[in-house]
Formats: sequence, C-alpha cells, structure tokens
Amino acid sequence: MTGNKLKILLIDNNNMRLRDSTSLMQCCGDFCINPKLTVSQNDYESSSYDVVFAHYGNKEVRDYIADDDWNSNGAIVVIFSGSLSKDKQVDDYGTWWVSASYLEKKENICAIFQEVFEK
Amino acid sequence: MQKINNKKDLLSFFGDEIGQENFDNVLYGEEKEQYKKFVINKATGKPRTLHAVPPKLKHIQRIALDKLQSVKQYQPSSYAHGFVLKRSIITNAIPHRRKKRIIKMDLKDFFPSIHEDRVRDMFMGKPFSFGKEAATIMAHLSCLNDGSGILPQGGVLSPYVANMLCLKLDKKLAKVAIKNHCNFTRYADDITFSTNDVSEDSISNLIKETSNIIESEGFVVNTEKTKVLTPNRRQVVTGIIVNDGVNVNRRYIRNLRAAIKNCEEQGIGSQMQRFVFKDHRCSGPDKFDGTNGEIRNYFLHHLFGKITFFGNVVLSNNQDLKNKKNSDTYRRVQTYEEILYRFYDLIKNVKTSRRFKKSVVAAVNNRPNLSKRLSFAQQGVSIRGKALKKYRSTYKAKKLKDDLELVTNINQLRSFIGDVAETNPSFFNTAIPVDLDEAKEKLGTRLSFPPVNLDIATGVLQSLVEDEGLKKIVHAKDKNEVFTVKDCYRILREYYDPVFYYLPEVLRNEFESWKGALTKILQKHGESYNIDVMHDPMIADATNKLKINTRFGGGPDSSDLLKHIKKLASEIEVESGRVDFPQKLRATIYTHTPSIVDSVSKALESMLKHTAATDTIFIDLIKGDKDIELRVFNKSKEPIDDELLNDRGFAHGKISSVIRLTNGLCKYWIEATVDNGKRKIIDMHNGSEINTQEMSGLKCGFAHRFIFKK
Repeated sequence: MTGNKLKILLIDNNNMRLRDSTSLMQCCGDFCINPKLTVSQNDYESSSYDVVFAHYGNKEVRDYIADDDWNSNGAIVVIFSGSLSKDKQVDDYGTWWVSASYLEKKENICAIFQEVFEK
Repeated sequence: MQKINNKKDLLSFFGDEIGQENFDNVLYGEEKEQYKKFVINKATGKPRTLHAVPPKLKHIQRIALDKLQSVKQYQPSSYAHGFVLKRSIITNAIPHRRKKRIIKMDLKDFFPSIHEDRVRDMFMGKPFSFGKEAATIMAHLSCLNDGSGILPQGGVLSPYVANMLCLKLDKKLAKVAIKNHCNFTRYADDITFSTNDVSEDSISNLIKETSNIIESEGFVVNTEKTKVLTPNRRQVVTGIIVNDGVNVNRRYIRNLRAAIKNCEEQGIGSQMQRFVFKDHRCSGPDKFDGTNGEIRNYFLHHLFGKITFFGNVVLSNNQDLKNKKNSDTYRRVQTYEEILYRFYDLIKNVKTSRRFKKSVVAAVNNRPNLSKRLSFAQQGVSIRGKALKKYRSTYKAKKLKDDLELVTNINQLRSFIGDVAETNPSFFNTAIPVDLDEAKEKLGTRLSFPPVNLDIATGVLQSLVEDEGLKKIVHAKDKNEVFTVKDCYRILREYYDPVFYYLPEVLRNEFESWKGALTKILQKHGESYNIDVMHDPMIADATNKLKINTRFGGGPDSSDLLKHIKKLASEIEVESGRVDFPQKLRATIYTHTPSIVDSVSKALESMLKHTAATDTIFIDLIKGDKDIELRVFNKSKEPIDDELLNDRGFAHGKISSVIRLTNGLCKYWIEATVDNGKRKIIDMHNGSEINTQEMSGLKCGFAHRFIFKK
C-alpha cells in the first residue's frame, strides 16, 4: 500500500451524508475516494478497492455486499448503519459494522483508517 | 327463471334446507302452531297489535324471504323505502328536502287490509306468475293461520308481500307524481309527495287523484291523516325533518345531550330510568336497577343507537361533504361528532362488552375530525378491528362459517378440518374435542380470523429496513431530528396494525413486546417525548430483541445463522461428523429467527432418528434471484412411499410442529425419491405437489427445504 494512494469506495444513498463523509475522510489522509450514491455489481467487482464503506440502507448493500455475494476482491468492507447499537464491531467473516453516528466524527473515521492500515 | 307451479317447484326454489315433510308438518300438520298475539303502544300512545311468528314457521318464512329477495325480477318498486335493503326512513325523506309543499297520506289498516286471497292473486300475477298451487301455498305461508287470513304485523314475509302488492299502486302514483311535477315515495303505509308548485288547485287535484288510485287498488285512505305541510312549519317525513336538508328534531338532540351530561355528572345509573324507560315503546328490561350491569349495558346500547341514528340522518346523502360552507347543515354534523365523542369518553372506562366498545371506537374512527382525538392504543385496535371486519365480510370467510354450520357429526368435522388445512396450515393435524358443539365453537372462533400470510409477514419484516416502512422504530434518528412517541404509534398504525391479523402469532408477540416498552414510555413521558429507540434504557433492549428475532444476517444486531447451526449441531449431534455444513452461511433473511432455528432443529432431529447412523446430514444455503433456501438433507438411497408423501402421512410429531412453526414465515417443502425412482416435491403447508422445475438438483435423499423471499 505504501507509495500508492489508498483506494476507497464510499456508497451512500444519502447525498448530504455522502458529501460530508467524503470531506471527513479526506481530512484523514491523502486517499483516492470514489463516492457513489449507488453501485452496480460490475462497478463494484471490476475496480479493486482497498476499503469499501457501504451504507446498509442501500438496497445493493443489504442484498449483496453485506452478505458478501459480490466479490470485493479482498477489500475491507465497512458497513455503516443507523440501526447498529454498538459503535464498531467486526463479525466472523471480517466485515466491519459501524454505527452511522460513529462515522460522523473525523477522529472516528481516522481511527478506522488507522486500524485498516494496521491490518 | 323456471316457472313455479306447485309445491314441488316451490320447495325446489327454497333449496335443500326445507324438506317436504318438515314443510307440510309446520304449515298444515302436527307441528302447526298459532301466532302469538300481543299489543304494544304506538308513538301516539294508541295500541298496536303484533303477531309473533312461531319459531319453525319463522325459519321457513325467512328462507322464503331470502330466496324471493334474491331474484332480480321480484323486487319492490324504487318508490318503496320501507323494509327494503339499503333503504330506510332517511332515504324516504331525502327526496322531499327543501320543498314548498309536502303532501302526506296514510293507508288505513295497511297490513290487516291485505287478505290471503289478495296475496294468492299477487303471486299468480306479474312478476311472480306462480301456478295456483304454489301461489296458494305462498299465501298460506304469509298470512295468519287463525281463520282471519290477514297479513300479520310482525310476520317475516309481511313487509315484502305488502311491498310487492303495492307494485302497481306505486307505478300509478309515480305517474301522477310526474304529471304534477312532484316527488313521490312510500314507506309502508306512509305516502309522501312533495312539490314546489304552491297552487292549491293542483294539490287538491293530486290528493283526489291519489285517493282514487289507492281505492282502486283495494286500499283505504286514512283521511284524518292527510296533511299538506308548508315550509313555515316543521315538515316531517317518516320522523325526519326536511325543511333544510335532513335533520332530527331539536328535542331529540336536546334529550341526547342532557342524558350524556347527566351521565357525566351523576353517573350512568342516574339516567337509565329517566331516559330509556320513559320511552313507552321500549322493549327492554322492565327493571329500574341502576346497578345491574345487564341493564346498564342495555341502556348504553340504547343511547348509542340513538346517537348512531342521529349520525345516519345528518351524514346521509354526504351532507357533511357537500355543505362544509353551509354552516347550518355542517353544524349538525359537528353536533353529532361532539355527542359521539362525549359518549365515547363516557364509556371508555365503563365495564361493558368489548364488542360494544369496539363499535363505538369504530364510529369515532369513521369521523376524521374525531379519530385524531382517540388514544393511540385505541386507534390501533380500531384499525385492526376494521381489517378483521373486512376479512369476515369476504365470501371466503362467510362460506367457511356456513360450511361449519352444516357439520352434524365428528366425522364430517374431521373431513371439514382436512379441507381447511389444505389452505390454512395452522389447522394441520388439529386435535378435535369429543363434544361436537364444543369442537364447532372452538373451530368457529379460529376460523373467524384470517389465515396468516407469508407475503404480508415478509413485507412487514422487510419494511423494518425501509424508509417507507417500520424502519424508524428500530433505527437511530438523524442528527437534530425530533421523533416522538406519537410518531412511533403513527408508523405502527400505518404499517403494522392493518395487517396485524395476517401475521404469525410469534411475530405479533415480538412486536407487541416492543409496543409494551413503548407504552411504558408513553405513560411516563407522554406522547410528545423525543424518543431514541436505540439507546433509551426503557426501550433499547426491546428494540434490539425485535431486530435479532426478525432477521438473519444484517450485522451484529441480528441473528447469525451460522452460529445457530453450529450450536444446533453441537447439541443434537449423536455421533461426531454426522452433521455437515459450510463455514459460510451468510444471507439476509427476514423471518422469525427463533421459530426457524426451532424448525431446523426439529428437522435435524427427525432426520437423525430416521436415517442410518452412518448417514451424514447436510445443511446448506442456496441463494436464488428471488429467494433464499435453507436446506437440510441426506443422501439416502431409500425411496419413500409415494402415497405417504402425497398425504403428508409421515408428518407427525416433529414434522407436524415444523409445518405450524414455519406457517407464514417461509415456504416449507419436502423433496424425496418415491417408489418409482422419480423425485417429487410436496408443499408441506398445503399438501400440493410442486412443479418439477423447482427440483433441488439432488439426485437422491430426503430434503427439508425452507424457502424465504428475498
């Protein structure tokens, strides 16, 4: 990863939050962020991302990405949702589950990136 | 319509319910009973003689009436409003609103003036054209059997016969009305014309012409009651005031208001004697004990009946919608709403039947201005009640009820339940009480609720993650968003209460348990409390439980299928290595997770018991475009008896429980190899064979297939 910019896909059907999250992420480092309101299977599988931030409220996230039905090509998948009671958890399949309110703070996003770098 | 000539034709027209022997006995033979004569007071205080029909004869009269009324050609004229379906004293009054002259006439001794021979002739004439034998029987069935041969007041057939006898009269009077630019209606013996032509000559000609027609049709005009009403005095038609729209009289409203006010101030008991029993026509209990619950219920029903009548009058002909700007007319609607709401307020904490309270709540809920004022819980209950009422009025529900009524022995009942179970899995392998009446009563109660519906249940659960759905009740709020307890109830009313009765009981319990927590918050903080369903200690656990118990997949706050399967395998496995499953069982499934885990557990136990100790049992998850299948199967080469599979004859104990557990939560199919070596799938919820296109691809073995909608 060193030497290259970290490639990040951000999927969120909430336009305002998409913009806010993109700005916050940019504060955490020099990343290549691709913010998208929605994503198709082809787009998702053809580009290789290092980290995918995906909003659980998006149908494609709920139906395919969260269940790992689309190939993430080894990207770390961080699902965020307003229906999660805990700030941050990693499930048995290695998927991160983060509450939407947790991602509203710059320091939390940066902390997640830090953990991802460590991985 | 085939011509009805004789008794045989007539009995065939009535249907199978009346046998010839029974008919003869009741009408002419051993079981012939006399009408019971009694006298009540008219509104004026004068006596009125009524005849109560003996029960067996009444039953036959009812069937005859239903059959006659069901024939399109045998309908009374459109001018007749008395005793005709969907017409009433209100519809009789409506054509006469705001008229300059109203002419009222009355037929003297209407029912007693109709004799058996006139009735017979009527049935022989158009539109019936019955043969003489059939017409004579109909006349005998309709008229008094005491030798007088008159049409009894109180007879089931009497109003219909009288209306049909007036067909020609109505037509002739309608012609006169048209000629004189009048409106005309008839309610039993009350004839009403109305016109804006104020010329006295025209009116006196109308009365004269009408009287002649009435007499030519064999009736007598009660000249004492002939009246011409002008707008400067109260114009009353069949008890309804028609001067300005339709209305009840002021005294009626004043009495209602006074009764409710006194009930509010002095208690309900204080009003019973004063209000109901002052009515000399009242047929209720003749005791004045204000503490007696039964009499209090009677009083409340009576009062509610009066309020409902007032409502029917002021809301008739959509007066509330048409006259919002007309303050006088709309004020009546407001008065009705005010009285109705005060009555609701009065009875909401009084001990009375649930059904009665439900009807009052339904009446309140029918008025948009009032429904907003109902308490949240009652609004939800009322919405559920409406949905249930709608189901009960369906042909399917009515037919089930009617079919159950026809059951006369336990064997028939078993066969009936078998038929019902084919469309409603909750009746599969239902235990039947020994006593037939008790069994029928229990079944009747169960049948009065709709069968659970998989599509509806899945829809409700999926809506827990949709913006246009129940999402808000399990989801964090947006920053600075105000989301109140009232909002929660509103969402439930929209997405949950209307389908309440179509959800499996286990799902309802999950939602009700969450609602219990919400109710506690409502009681403590009130309806405007800004609620955080994810973190408020009074509801956070309930919210989490609701999510965990209603979906697999979807992150840490939902059920993990793999963990459950691992746990089951470790608990159930008799010998190591007998249960095989992939290390990735990952899918988002909306269902009731504890019931599905229980079902898989039972299917596993059943397979372990019925397969060789060396056979492995596999669990797998198969994702399709529209559905997700959880499969529990073996690879046994042993075929299963074809008939046993068809009849679901092997489904006892555990499998029987799985059928009931999965009802409304997923499809439950069993696929197996049958005697002829072919593969077959049976839908365990209804016993039907599933199309071969749905085959799993397994070449052998027995498979439990749980199929969930995506």
